[in-house]
Amino acid sequence: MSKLDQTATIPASFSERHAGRIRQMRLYGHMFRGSFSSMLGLTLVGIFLILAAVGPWIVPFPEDTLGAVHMGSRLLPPSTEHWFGTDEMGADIFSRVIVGARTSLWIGIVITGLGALIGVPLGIIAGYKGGFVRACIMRLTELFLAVPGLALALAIVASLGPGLTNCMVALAIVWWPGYVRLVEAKTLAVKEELFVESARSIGAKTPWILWHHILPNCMSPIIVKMSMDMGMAILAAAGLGFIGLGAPPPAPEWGAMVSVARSYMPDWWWYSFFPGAAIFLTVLGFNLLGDGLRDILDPRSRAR
Amino acid sequence: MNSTLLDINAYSLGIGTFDGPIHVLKDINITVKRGETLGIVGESGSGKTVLVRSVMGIGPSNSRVQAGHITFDGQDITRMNDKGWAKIRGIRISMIFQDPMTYLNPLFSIGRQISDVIAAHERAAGQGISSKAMRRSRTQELLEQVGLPAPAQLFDQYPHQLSGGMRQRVLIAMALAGKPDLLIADEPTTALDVTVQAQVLDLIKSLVKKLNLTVIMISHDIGAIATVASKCAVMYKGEIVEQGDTAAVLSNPQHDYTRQLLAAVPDIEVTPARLLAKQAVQDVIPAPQKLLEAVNLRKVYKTQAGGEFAAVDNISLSVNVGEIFGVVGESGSGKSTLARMLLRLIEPTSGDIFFEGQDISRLRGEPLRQIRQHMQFVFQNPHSALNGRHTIGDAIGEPLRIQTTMSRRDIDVRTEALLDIVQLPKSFRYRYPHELSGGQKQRVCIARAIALNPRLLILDEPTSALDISVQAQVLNFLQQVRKELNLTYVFISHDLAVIRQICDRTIVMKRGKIVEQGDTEQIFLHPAEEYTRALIESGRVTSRAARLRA
Repeated sequence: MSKLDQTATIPASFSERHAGRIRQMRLYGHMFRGSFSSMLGLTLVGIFLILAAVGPWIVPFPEDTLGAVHMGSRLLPPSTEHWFGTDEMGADIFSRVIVGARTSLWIGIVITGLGALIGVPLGIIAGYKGGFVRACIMRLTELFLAVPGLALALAIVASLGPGLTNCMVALAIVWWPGYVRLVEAKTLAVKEELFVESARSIGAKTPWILWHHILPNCMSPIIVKMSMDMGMAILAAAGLGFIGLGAPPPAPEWGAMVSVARSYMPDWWWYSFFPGAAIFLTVLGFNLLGDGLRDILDPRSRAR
Repeated sequence: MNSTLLDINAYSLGIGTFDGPIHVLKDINITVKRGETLGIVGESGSGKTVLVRSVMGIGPSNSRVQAGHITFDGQDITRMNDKGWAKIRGIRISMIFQDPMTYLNPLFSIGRQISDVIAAHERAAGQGISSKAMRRSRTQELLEQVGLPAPAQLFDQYPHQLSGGMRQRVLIAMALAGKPDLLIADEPTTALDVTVQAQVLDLIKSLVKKLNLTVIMISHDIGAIATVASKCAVMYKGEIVEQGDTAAVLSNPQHDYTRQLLAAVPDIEVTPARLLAKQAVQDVIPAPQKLLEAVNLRKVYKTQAGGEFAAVDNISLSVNVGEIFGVVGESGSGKSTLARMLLRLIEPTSGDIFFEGQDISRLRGEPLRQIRQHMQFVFQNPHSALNGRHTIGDAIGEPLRIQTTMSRRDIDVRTEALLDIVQLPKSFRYRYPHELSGGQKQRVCIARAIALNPRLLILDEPTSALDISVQAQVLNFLQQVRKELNLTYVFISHDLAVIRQICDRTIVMKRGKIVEQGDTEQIFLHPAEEYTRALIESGRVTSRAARLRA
């Protein structure tokens, strides 16, 4: 024991050290590529992300997204100049839809992020501690789940006042209980595993066990749920925008655009169609991606 | 009478995986005659289960027959469709599996499950389904055939009300329901206790005689094969390396692998070398010093019915510095509960535990964490004792990161040194547990346990999840490490041969109580209690079968 080998071997190259990881990733990639719907989801989400990243610089009429008014070109149908037509202020709908991607992405990330940030720790603690702590957390969770989410969010926004930030806060507040449920169930299963007991027997403290052993093993369902929730959150925010509780009018938000366009149906169909289609494709994309991720991350559905 | 029932001819099977096709079976040639019992021995991963499953037509989903064919009773069944299989599977060939619990539906009574099988066979045979009463009597007849008492009562019982051995008998009854020509048994005794193992093997043997069955039994336990099978085949890495009469193969093994396999079987009859060595130096042994002591340890669980159940009932023991202390007993005897209590992983209901004279049964928080440096646990199942998301390096370094203030670099150096001690290559640091074999994983677990230089290791059936050949290696290695690091072991096992080989003193447990305790040799040579005697006797059955012919 005293003859400690002081000469640590030269660290192997990156690809040697991570051979296992790399193989795993290649396997995931292989399985993912094999599924059409997963690839479709990935493509849609990819396009959405690119548009969100570079949108304001590529649109033909950037000033239209800030509330510019061109009374001469009101409600024009789709043409080569205005691909998606124009709205009642004469703004280019194509530009507004593209720039709206950024708002939607922001909404999706904030809501699912906040939801997971609140829900995951609560779920892990509830599952690991058990007893009274678990009862408290789970009853509180059920209290939130008992009220329909959107209705509760509506009430919260109404009391906070309309606006994009308040809308996101309200949705995050109704979003976390789902994560508590998911993570609690997973934690209950993982904490019975031998390696948790093994960590305890070498003297690990509870936070160490939660962080190093429980959380990594809960990650796959969390990732899957988050990717699916991105779509749902965007949809919910669009819903709030539709009833006028989201972003205030000049801001290019898809839900709000559909809301205004409602009174121009059906003659000026393009006004509501394109923002609606954007919502549809984004939500579809995230859902398909989530399904695909679940298929490769969930060992039960895996066909070796 | 002596016609060929099953003929496997130059059969090769490949499984398509992401990494390219893997050849699981290579050029297999086996012939089984009617009324014969063939045993297939091999370690896990040698392809024996895949082989018998292909005979049943339930091979792995993306497998492909590369060459050869399987003929059953003159009919080629290599590439048969589902319709053809319906007339063979379960009726002419049936199978019993390793873990009886998972193959019985917990929601239906035993009788219902067997009658359903009978009905299914009748439907497949094209005759009308017989009446409920007739099926009932046939079921009871079957239950009686497999030696289960009071079949009329048993008919309405549910799987959870039966013991493991009884469940395995029920499965055998179910397999016999279609009056099969060929019975395939896939490790039928592995999940059972020693005493029950011997009974189930006897049952299979007697059924072969009574019903003129043809049996293919696979096992990694040579003893079990030797007890039952008249012919045997040894499989290694997808190939049959040797086959012939069991007696001939075991007494005169031709292939190196067979020889290794035979040498690895621990022998219950042999006086351990340890004792012979000890006798020579008997007078220099210093007075024993107590390392761990337990006084009146009890653990009581409340049952759902509101009653109380003592998993461990008033156990007192003391372990001396430097010895290997054995704990032996059947499953459910409270061995594991006891072990976990000694380490305070489970809170004892009452009683005291002393470690180096210090009462640790009331310690909490930081002092308890500190004491855990000195006593470590090695778990039964290395496959689940390692977190699949950590590399081996992380796993071994974890105790150091938790208990010491060593720098990341020092920990890396120490991790490599530990890998050296457990005889694994240093490059394993970057591997993940799923890339390692069972024996390698158990070595990693041991490395992890000795990382903090503990005084005491509690080993909870460290070898029972491993193949016999690997078991021998791990046992040798454990003894080696003990000498080098001056460790004390508490060794828990259900395998008496292993206990006799390595333990100095032993306690025998039954239903939470100590039945017998004392010097290991004393217990083996002159067991005082009926229970101990029965335990040793059943351990002998398989051990002797493997030896007698050697």
